[in-house]
Amino acid sequence: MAPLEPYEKVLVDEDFLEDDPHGEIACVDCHGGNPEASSFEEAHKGVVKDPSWPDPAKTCGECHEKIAAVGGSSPHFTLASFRSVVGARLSDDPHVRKKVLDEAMGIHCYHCHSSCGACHVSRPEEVEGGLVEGHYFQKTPPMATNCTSCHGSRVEKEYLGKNKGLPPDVHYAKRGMKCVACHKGGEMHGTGKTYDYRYKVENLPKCEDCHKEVLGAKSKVKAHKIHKDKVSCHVCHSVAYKNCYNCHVGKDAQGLPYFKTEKSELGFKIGLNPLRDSRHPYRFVTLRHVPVNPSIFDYYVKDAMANFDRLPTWKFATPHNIQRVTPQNKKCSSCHGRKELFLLEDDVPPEERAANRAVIVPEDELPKARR
Amino acid sequence: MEGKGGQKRVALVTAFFFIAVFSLIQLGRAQEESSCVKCHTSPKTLIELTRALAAKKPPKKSAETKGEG
Repeated sequence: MAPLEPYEKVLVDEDFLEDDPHGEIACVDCHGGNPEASSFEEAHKGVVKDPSWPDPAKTCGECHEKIAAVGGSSPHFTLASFRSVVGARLSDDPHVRKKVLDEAMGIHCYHCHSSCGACHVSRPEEVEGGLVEGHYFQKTPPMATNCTSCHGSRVEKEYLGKNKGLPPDVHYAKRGMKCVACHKGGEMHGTGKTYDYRYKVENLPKCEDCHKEVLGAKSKVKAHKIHKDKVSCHVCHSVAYKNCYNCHVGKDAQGLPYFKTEKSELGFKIGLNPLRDSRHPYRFVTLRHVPVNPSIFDYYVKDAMANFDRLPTWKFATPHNIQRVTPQNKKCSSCHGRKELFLLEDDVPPEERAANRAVIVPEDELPKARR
Repeated sequence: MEGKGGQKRVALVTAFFFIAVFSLIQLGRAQEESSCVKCHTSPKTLIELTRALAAKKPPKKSAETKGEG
């Protein structure tokens, strides 16, 4: 997505003031500043660019009381899972934890948060912001300017078929479904409960929400009956997806923060489910390698990831590239007996094996070959 | 009769007074809005302003950033 010209980012559509109910509110009531000042500097003194962040209660909450009351708990708002997954791998030394969780992540990670405004009014700050449509409030956040601004490297490329040689997700290709068709407001706005891991969110979409007949007890699909609760939907219906292997953060000679990631790779690996619970009862799930490595925060503090092995580097994943027919679900033998589809010990470098012990499939547990 | 006429005049004056006060409040509010709205709805003004500001501001992003986020 091309960045906006600087003037476009702050250009308000004159009609917004007449057509949108939010246009009836005085600019100063939400953004502050001094409309009577004669200079740019004076006029913008104390201006709040995003009045919905960090506390939407005093602005959005004036009218949207119920949403604003719980909005602060949304994972998009809190990024609580960033903190918990990095925190789990960090040394127990309070100095190290503070240095990484507060300083380094404050500089490099936490700006990825969203807010009411970053979904409904402007592009997210991560992509340098800018009004989406002349300050008109978007009841449904536009997929291209908002959702995929942040979820671009993996989800967008998978869902829209931008990974070379791979088709778009069937929900998009056949029905043109946008993100909000599955990820509805209730999920996005939060429930008031803070989750330390995104797959623990209780109102996440489920395939069963729409595909009841083919997944329920009366399903006529034999493969569904056989594999129910043993294999996640993605194991049979995803195609190759992106895996990233590392990341390094630091500051350049001018003090500007940077990150460096090595080339990502497309791949497909089935592994053991590290997250088995009533919502995810499956034994086998798709796994994605995430951009984590022991030296990621070395610029700030050496060997911070003293407990690197506490979490797998191949994590539970739900790739957004669903197909009805995939290379591994054409017939039984497309998956059974094909060990290259599974994450085996030899696929994992020795230094990451301890971290991935819970997800690596032991050879004797591979699905047996079928004719 | 004169008494009724006097009451009418008082009512009219009172009504005009409130209308005038209300209009002044609205005018004041509109004027307060106008400087924000005037600039932020004018592409020409914003182009000039943002160019001048961009020339003064140092870059925000490091050239050392590499790879996908």
